[in-house]
Amino acid sequence: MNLTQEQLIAYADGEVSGEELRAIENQLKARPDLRLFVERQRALRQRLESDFAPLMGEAIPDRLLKAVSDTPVSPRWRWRQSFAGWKETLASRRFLLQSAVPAGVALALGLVIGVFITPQGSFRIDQGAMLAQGALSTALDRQLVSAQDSASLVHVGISFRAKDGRYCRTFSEAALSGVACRDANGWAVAALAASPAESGSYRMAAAMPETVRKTVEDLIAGEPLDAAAEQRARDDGWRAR
Amino acid sequence: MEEPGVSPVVIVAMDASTQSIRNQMAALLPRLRRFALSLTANGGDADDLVQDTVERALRNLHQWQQGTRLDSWMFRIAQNLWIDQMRARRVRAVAAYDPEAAEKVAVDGARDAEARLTFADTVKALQDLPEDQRVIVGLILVDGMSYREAADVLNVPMGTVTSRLARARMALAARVFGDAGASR
Repeated sequence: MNLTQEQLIAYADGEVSGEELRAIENQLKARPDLRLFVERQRALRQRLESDFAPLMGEAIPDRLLKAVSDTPVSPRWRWRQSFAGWKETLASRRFLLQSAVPAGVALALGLVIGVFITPQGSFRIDQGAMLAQGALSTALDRQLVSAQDSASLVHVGISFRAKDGRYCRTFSEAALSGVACRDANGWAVAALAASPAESGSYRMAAAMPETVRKTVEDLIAGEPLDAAAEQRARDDGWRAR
Repeated sequence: MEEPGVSPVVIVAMDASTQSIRNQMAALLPRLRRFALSLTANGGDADDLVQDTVERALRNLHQWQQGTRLDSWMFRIAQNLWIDQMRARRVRAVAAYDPEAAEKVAVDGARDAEARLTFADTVKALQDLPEDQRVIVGLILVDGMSYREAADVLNVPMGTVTSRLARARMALAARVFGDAGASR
């Protein structure tokens, strides 16, 4: 076998295996010139690696970090992401078992949500995250479970600390129930679903929609806050610990 | 229905995937900068290229196939942008060639004089390579990708990677070790 430069370079890079590797190693034994060639190719690689290595430790310029955090993602990506969530739901056995309520309700709720996600509604989409706004955001900020404002259209169910340190609260507003967690941008909605229509008493935590309840179970660290802890958290601006 | 009060209609189950993509991109920035510098040979141009790459990637995020590697996709965007820039620049350069500007190599100020010379030499040697070879060197020798990974980034057969790399390395070895280093 006559070794080519390409083979020797691939060998120097550790890209050769099996039969070919043994054949090359056999030939190299008798050829100091080829061994020198391989050695120099390795030295060349090391030199390039070490020449550029310092860049890995350099501070990243702000404008690049800003490009990463502020460049809007393509609308088609965002749309696909929310669609993927839908598909998962539709595909789940649980959904099929429980879809006693026909598609018409889903459509109606789609319309409800459509109305809610408007500049005047209770939600807005910000960089792919759904945030509470308006009256809902205000209620989540201020309203205590122990002292519900009867004039408020929003009912806050429970308040709790999430495993990641954020404060989260469940809420109901009109036909919707959900759970939102406070982060730097506001109240990020972690789950949102139709309030159980048949219960008629959406004010009970027990009547939380399945998705919301599941999300709460996934999020919660320990027990829901008692009245005193909730008030402290509120007065502290729901800052994550 | 086994559970009371269960709604079948789930409207939104938000996930953090867009944020997670941004985090992954932020983590890729050092590698992208290093790769970009191996192409542009100039720190400012390299950061311009990385910025363009990030913006292009986020604005066209739907074109990224979920489940495939984000880094390969970003490197592909970076090298495509750079090749396009070089083509455009070549057209302009015919009109106005400035040999002094061509010699200028921006090197980060933190490095000492001796290393600076070495680094400038390396960069100069890279600049003399044809563009397709420079990309291969940047991916494999500077970033440390395997031949397979580089072939995936460029969407070319392995054989193309192997032969381009060999040509680039023969030229680089001749520069670094003298002509004898390249012979075999």
